[in-house]
Amino acid sequence: MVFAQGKFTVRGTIEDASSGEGLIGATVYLEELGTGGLSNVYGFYSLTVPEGKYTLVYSFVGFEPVSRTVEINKDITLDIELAPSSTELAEVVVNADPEDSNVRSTQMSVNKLDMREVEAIPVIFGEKDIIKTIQLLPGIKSTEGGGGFFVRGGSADQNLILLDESPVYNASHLLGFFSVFNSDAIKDLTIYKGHIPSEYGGRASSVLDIKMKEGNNKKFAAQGGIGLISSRATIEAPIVKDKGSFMVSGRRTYVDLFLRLSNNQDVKNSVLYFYDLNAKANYKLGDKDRVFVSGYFGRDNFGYSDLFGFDWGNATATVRWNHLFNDRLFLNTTALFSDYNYEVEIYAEDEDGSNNGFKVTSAIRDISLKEDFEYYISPQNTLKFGASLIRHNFVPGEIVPQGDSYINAQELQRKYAWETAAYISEDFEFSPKFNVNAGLRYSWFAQVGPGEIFTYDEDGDIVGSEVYNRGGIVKSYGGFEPRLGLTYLLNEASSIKASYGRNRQYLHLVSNSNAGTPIDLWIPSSNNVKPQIADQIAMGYFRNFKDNVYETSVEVYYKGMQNQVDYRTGAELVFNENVESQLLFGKGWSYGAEFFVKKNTGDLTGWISYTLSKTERKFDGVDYGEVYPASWDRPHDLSIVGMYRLNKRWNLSAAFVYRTGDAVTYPVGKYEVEGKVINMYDKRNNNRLPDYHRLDLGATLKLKNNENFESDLNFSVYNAYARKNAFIVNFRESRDDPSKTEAVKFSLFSILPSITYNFRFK
Amino acid sequence: MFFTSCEEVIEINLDEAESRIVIEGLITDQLGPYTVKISESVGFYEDNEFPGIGGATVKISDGQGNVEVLEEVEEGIYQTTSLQGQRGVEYHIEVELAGEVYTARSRMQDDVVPIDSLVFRFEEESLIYDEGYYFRAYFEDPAGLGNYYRFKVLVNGEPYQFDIDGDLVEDNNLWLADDKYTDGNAQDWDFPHTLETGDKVSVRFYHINKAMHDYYRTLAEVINGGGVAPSNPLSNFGNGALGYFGAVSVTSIEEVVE
Repeated sequence: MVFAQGKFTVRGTIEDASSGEGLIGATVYLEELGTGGLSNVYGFYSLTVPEGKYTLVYSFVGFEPVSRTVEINKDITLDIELAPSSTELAEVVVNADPEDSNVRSTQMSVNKLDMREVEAIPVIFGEKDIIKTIQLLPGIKSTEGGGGFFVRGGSADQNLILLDESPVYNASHLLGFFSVFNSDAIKDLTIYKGHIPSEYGGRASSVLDIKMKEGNNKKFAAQGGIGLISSRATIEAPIVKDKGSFMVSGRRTYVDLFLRLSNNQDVKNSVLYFYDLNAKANYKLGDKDRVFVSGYFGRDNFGYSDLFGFDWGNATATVRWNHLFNDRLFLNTTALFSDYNYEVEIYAEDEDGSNNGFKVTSAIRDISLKEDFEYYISPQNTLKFGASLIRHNFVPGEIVPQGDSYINAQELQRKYAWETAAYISEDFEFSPKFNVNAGLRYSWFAQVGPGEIFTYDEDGDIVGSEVYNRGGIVKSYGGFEPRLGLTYLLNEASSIKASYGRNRQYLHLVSNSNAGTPIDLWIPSSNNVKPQIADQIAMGYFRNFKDNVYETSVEVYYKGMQNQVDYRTGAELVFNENVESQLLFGKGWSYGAEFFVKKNTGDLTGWISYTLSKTERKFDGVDYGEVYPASWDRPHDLSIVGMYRLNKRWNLSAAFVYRTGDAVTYPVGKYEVEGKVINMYDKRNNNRLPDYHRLDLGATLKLKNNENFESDLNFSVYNAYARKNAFIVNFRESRDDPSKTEAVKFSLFSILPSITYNFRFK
Repeated sequence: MFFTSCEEVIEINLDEAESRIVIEGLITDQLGPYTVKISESVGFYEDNEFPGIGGATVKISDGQGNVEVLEEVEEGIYQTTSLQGQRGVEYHIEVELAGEVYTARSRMQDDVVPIDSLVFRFEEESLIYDEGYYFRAYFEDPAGLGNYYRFKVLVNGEPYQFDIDGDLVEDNNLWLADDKYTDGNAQDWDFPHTLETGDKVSVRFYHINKAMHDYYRTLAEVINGGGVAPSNPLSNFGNGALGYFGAVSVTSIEEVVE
């Protein structure tokens, strides 16, 4: 490689001075050139400039900026530590990005959450939860009592959730009331709702990229909290000061401890809990290499006496190696393993006391290898390229009888697939006003044997089958995924952006619910099931006011989705070897406008987010091909979040949400069969649940603080005005007057107060 | 426990739809006559009255050339006079009403599957059980997949009333079983009816085909609220008729709790 004469590189890491954590997306600004760069997800930056003397300004909101004047006449390494800002004003600053990055960066349709924001926002049971918090952002919709979320009209399986690069297949605990992410262990969270960068692929609608903390490499630190229904603790410490560190974080709920107090033997022996364990270690092997090992293990466990047990959870493990080939070329290699499985156990005691029950298990497992290069050609020009390979293993279901059970052992055929991709993307600053991010990704997927593979006709009947040997290709699919983003700076404080992207998705979630349950089934694309393809175009106007105190944006988008999945009437999805025959395929599309206003600094901070949107589908097999709204179509979705620093000891917060109810199918009449009154249905999703709205309030009281220890008490109220939001509406015979039928609304939660004690050893 | 769920009756505007025909017909291997009932759907907020529809022509044939035209004995109730249901035979029904023709077919299973015994046991009061007697039905599934069953339970001659949070809810009697996981095995099915000493339990056991099982299964789903995407049960009448036509082999057993 030959470089232009007289150009040299300054590179290094930008880290938090108090902990050594790499700062993601910190700015390095070259005053003389009027441009600069950002640190990558490992805190690494690299700038190649003509020989000369430069003043480099390093900054990251929430930290004191650092300025260095350097003679760049050879390649230099300049590692920088930024001290957390000590001014009180900065304590409530809640934007992790450089102040004007929303205007300047080539990214649009993205939200980055500062973990301090997550900690300040009240959520259910007083448990901070990143998934609940992102649902307060524009374009992201949630459900109460369900773990899934919907981004710009996409279904709940169209979101790629990554924890230190490892996919998490089921991000819900306790049927969706909590996510599997312990916010104490998390450093950074970014959600891409559109214009997904080329290095990501595999899901049609979004990427939720979650990075765990590395662990303090300067000194021991610990934090934790004790709440009404769960507690958590995190420990971090150096392995070798400034070179390596580790972090371990755990969380457990203990609702079932109260069950122990029961007099009833059965209740006493019951369990209901979940736990998470996050662990991470990293080490710098010299100037050019750094190794990271991270893992996550979590489990939900529910059991009633010795009659019934149900547990499920994820396990992920990632090994990553950062390597610098030279000062401009950064490589990250990742090897990962991800597993999601569940097990149901039914105990059936026979007359002689032996167990004649059975177990059912199901799992999905990934092993993957990824190479991601970043080539920092110049401050105006960054090139990224790489490739990935994933091996998917599916265990759709296994029944294992116990003892003399009359249940027969059965195993649904295991399935196997390869998914691979290569990408290249270029971030190019044509001029100080005009920035282009252009990328191309190519992905390829194949379902492979061994197995007996069935073919079905339109009606779901088996019309053929073929036996494949190990590794034999049943069906392969491949395609290009262009990703393009344009940013034009109108002036210092405003910009317009446009983007187009195509995303291919090769795995599909088969579920009995819209938002997901622990027994949902992931299936590969195959000879019967095509990959989902989403094309999205978006445009936006971004404007900051009063020197970046206020951030505002308007984004409009249109997304067209092909090969969407729905189910036949009366579909049998549970433990079905031929589950593919129960699926219907069709088109979906969504469009909308997202309005966002955010205040970043001052005693009062927060945001207002409003999304106006529509999501529809058209399937030959549903309503004879008529267009119908998706269940998660919600024309109006409003969130207002506020955080107020009352005084040195009290911080208040409030979150208000208002949204149109889900589209639901209600009866259009009734008839009689076998003397029973039966509801009669017609069109899918022909009606709406009542509108949903809710106010959550929180207050945090800072307790005794000193240099090494701080603690606070957090009070929160979920659903402060006790609105009985409809979870489901049933239609049934009136209890008062059996000659009539009526509609009955069920609500999940009334008002729920909570209290949590949080502590930190610094 | 910490979920405070609550229910409230609400007013909702519902779409109106054209009324639809409902045809229910069952042929068994027991002695006839067999009945076909024809009625109509009504609006959701109307009273629960479903008058029969007279004037239809109802024919049942056995695919072997025997055709019987059913006699209308009451408005909407049509009965056979000489037809005797037989196992292993596929029956067709044709209903002509107001210029529309509705057809369906159903094949009666080949084998008789009896319930071998009903066994009672006593359960103490617990989180799952109220104090009382509970029963299991024992039978043996013939070898070979494709056997489906429905149990109908009467206690002292009547459908059982379940006490659900203080409300009395009548047993739907859609107790369904199949041999997917238990093919060829002797097995037992557990019922949640709480009984007292002296109660007489009669169980009618239908040996049905897959299409009937799909109908009953999807009917039970509608009765239970319909799930995420409620839709009408999988009827074997094309052309928009609700209800079902089935040919089943029936056995029964009766025991008294002692």
